[in-house]
Amino acid sequence: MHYFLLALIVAIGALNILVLFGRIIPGPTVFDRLVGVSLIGTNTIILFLLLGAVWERLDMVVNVALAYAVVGFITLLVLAKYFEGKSEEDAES
Amino acid sequence: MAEPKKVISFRLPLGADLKYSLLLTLFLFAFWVVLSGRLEARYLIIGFLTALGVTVITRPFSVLPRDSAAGGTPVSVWGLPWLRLLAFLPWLFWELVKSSISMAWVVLQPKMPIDPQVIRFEKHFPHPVGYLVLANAITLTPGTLTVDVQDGRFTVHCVQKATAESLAPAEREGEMPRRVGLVFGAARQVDLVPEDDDNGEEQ
Amino acid sequence: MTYVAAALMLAGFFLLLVGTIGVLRLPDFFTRLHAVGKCDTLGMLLFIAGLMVYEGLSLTALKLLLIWIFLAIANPTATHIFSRAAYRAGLKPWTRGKEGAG
Repeated sequence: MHYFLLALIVAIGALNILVLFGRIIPGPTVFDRLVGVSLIGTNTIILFLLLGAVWERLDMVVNVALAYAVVGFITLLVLAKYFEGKSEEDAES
Repeated sequence: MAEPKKVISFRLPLGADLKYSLLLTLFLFAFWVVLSGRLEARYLIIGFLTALGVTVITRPFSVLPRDSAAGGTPVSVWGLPWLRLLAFLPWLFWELVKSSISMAWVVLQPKMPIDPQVIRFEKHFPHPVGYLVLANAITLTPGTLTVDVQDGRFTVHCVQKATAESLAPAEREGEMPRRVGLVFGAARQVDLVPEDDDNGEEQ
Repeated sequence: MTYVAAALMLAGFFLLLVGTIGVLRLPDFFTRLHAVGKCDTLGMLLFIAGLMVYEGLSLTALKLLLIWIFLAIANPTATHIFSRAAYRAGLKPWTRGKEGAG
């Protein structure tokens, strides 16, 4: 029962990530897509930590999650800076 | 804008932030020990040298320029009023909880009661990190989101009209800028900048 | 103690779901950022706090605390960077008056 509940939560988290593609693919501007990608990043961290707790290997997973958080943040920063100079005509599509 | 070009200085004498550099080295060393989890002498020595190297390499980044309202001399990032900042954080966290609940309420209603608008106000801090803290705090409080900060002029996007008025009321200072101002010792009072339709400040 | 951890994690998970729903439902980019900046930040923070309670006092909990502090600073900053980039790229905020302007 306990395991079933955890599996259910993991499944809902994975579904959460899948649903976010509903914003990334149609997203009217490139910034909407960026927001979707950043949300996927945070959800991935959460799901990964949860899986670590399920597998009882949280000590290992935590290091990977920390690195993932830092790298994801820097990636989004660079992408946002890159699109900052673009005009609205470029941003759409 | 035909303003005279501002001279921004990044030079800070080495002695001015030596204390902070040493503390940063110690902090990074502690970080290393926590991450590695080993206490053999070899790893400790490598960790200490790494922390020292990182401190020396990143020192140019830790010197921030200040605008002319605050004297114009540069200042170290780490010279913050730490204790007052720590005392400010629980209130901020509570605001975050309230704002999340209100946002969840807005999102989950079938007919979303939103009426977005953009407001501007001005606030100056003697320390540049004050701008960062106020911008992040505005983002985390109910219904408001910092869009742009330029020379102390904050552009804030609000979901509902009521939240816009709670942040920057017509006459007096809003609750949030007042509290951050108390933490950092604000240099100047808030001046409401009238809303104009040009998109941002060209520079 | 396990129940406290479970309650914190479920609350965080719920807020993450709300953030996703908000990003899907809200009408324009800036209002979507509201959902990201608030619900998602608090959701993650609550979830990791729950994991810390679950783990108890250990090195892992200390590392989780590092992730917690990093995310608490990085997430609002990332939100702000997005909104500024969109604003400077010339994106107009959606308003109630003119429907479909965003």
